[in-house]
Amino acid sequence: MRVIVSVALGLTLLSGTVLLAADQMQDSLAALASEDSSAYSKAVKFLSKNRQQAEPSLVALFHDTGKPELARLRAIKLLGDFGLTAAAGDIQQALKSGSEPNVAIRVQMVRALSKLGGEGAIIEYLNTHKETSPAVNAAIAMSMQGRTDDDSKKALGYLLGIEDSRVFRAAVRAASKTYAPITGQSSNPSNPSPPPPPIEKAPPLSENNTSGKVAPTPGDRAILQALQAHRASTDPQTSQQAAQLLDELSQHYHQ
Amino acid sequence: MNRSSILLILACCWLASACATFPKHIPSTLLGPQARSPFVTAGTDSSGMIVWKQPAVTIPAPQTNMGTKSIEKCGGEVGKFLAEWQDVNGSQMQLIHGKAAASEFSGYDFWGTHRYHDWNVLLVVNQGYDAFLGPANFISFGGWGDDAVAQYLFLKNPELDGLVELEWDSGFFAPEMAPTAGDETLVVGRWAYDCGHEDEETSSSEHTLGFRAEIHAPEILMSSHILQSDSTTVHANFKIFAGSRSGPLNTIPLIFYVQKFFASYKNPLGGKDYSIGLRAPGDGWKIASCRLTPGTPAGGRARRITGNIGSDDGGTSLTFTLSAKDLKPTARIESSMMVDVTWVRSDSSRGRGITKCE
Repeated sequence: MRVIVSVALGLTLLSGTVLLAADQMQDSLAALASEDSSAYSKAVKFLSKNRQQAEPSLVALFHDTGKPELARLRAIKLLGDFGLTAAAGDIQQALKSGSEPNVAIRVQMVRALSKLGGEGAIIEYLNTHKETSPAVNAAIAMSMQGRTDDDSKKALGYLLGIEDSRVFRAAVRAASKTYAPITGQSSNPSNPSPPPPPIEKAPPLSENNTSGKVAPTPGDRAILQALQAHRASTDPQTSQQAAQLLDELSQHYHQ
Repeated sequence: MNRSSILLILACCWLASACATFPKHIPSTLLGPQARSPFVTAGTDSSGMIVWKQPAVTIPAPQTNMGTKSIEKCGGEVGKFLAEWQDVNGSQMQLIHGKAAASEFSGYDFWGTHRYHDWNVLLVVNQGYDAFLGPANFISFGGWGDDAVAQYLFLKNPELDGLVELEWDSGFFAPEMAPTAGDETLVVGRWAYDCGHEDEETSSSEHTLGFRAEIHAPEILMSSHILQSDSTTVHANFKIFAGSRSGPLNTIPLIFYVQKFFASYKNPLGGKDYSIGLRAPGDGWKIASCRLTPGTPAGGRARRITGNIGSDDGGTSLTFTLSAKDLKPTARIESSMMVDVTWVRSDSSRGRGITKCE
């Protein structure tokens, strides 16, 4: 009898705990729609501690267009912040479908994908040339920073060619990070990132080349050409930034 | 006193200091989220209703290394536990002019460096003030990712980008005197990196944008709230709050957690006279009515000083003056005033070009 009572008590406690946790999960997901900062902070703390259990609900939340946009935006953000890589496919598909009308949510998709290692999908999306929002294009530019593969450079070259100060500013920042190993700019001296992969370099133009300059790859060329075009910009800040980076790159690449 | 008594006292002190609360006198309507204005845009000083006159201020030159500088100054992961705010550019007071996109209590404050919750104002700065923004202040770079209010603003208006925050411990500031979202706002205060808000970049190859730059804490916060604006009348309510104290910003919470109860950062409000112009936007206006009323005080033991207001151009605009020259720079002083002004067209039969306020 005593054993039965103990087991029953244990089961009751267990089911109570499970129900309480499930309630908290639901409350936290609901709080993602809250305009109250403290409610949101508490929700993030709980979801962060229970990230694996939260993943399916967060994915379902961002897919559900009937839910408040603030909750959907935050669900995508948290998927990226928590590094829930299994969600990358879902986000990738949603971005590529082009069906998300909210710009801020598309920005968050790009950022989350970038954190989840989905840069290839971002480039694929960019290459559809469907994206017209400066905010999203700026986010795409930021996701390319420090990436030295030629596809990323071509993407940056394309973005640098867009006539919008916000996109240009983000693309210049990204390009500066990409070329930091050769221009000698340290992006973050006190918190060094792991060393970047070697820059893809085309071979020297001729055997007599003693200048130490290398031929630019197609990706480098796209960036150099876009910077060259911006050098003549009527916006002094843009032309100054373009000229500065171009001068630095000119010391390394044949043009 | 034995060892267990000492430990008990320390534990009590720690527990007592472990909460940032709301001051008791705050109206309940101010405790939750407030109305926000995501669509405010950068204006110009010349088109505004608030004109800073004296003392003279200079805007710092743009710095291209604000992100890396913030990391160096904040000192990595443990930096926050030693000092949560670091001056960006020396200790001189700086002035920023812009429009408030949001103005409300913060959602969370680190207990070690706050006696009460901060009142936060998110500001879209006027043209010419971009030098106050570091990389982490730009949404397009991935900044503000941890800020629930900025998330909301960006969701509603993805054109929004650079933002500066003003934060003032509500034990030393009256939230009733804060701007409401959409108001033109002018602030003078300590320009600092907030070492508690490091923003991640969006790329996996880089991990930080550095720390956000902000005004923490202000010593003068002024706003104009337009109640009516049409072709015949401009009616505005100006709020002016000045205070030299701002809470335990420079305490070292890990070691001296009790320090927060008696330490308060001192802004050098004393030792200078201040004057600020109030005007209607554009030309062709005269003052039809003007009323100066005391504003809400912050509470505490500050010596209250009163400002004066009058017109020195025959009733077109007003000049608010605050005299603190005879006081020590570190004097514990505070001033809280509201000015209600109505302008009418200068060819209107209403008003007489009032030069003194009631």
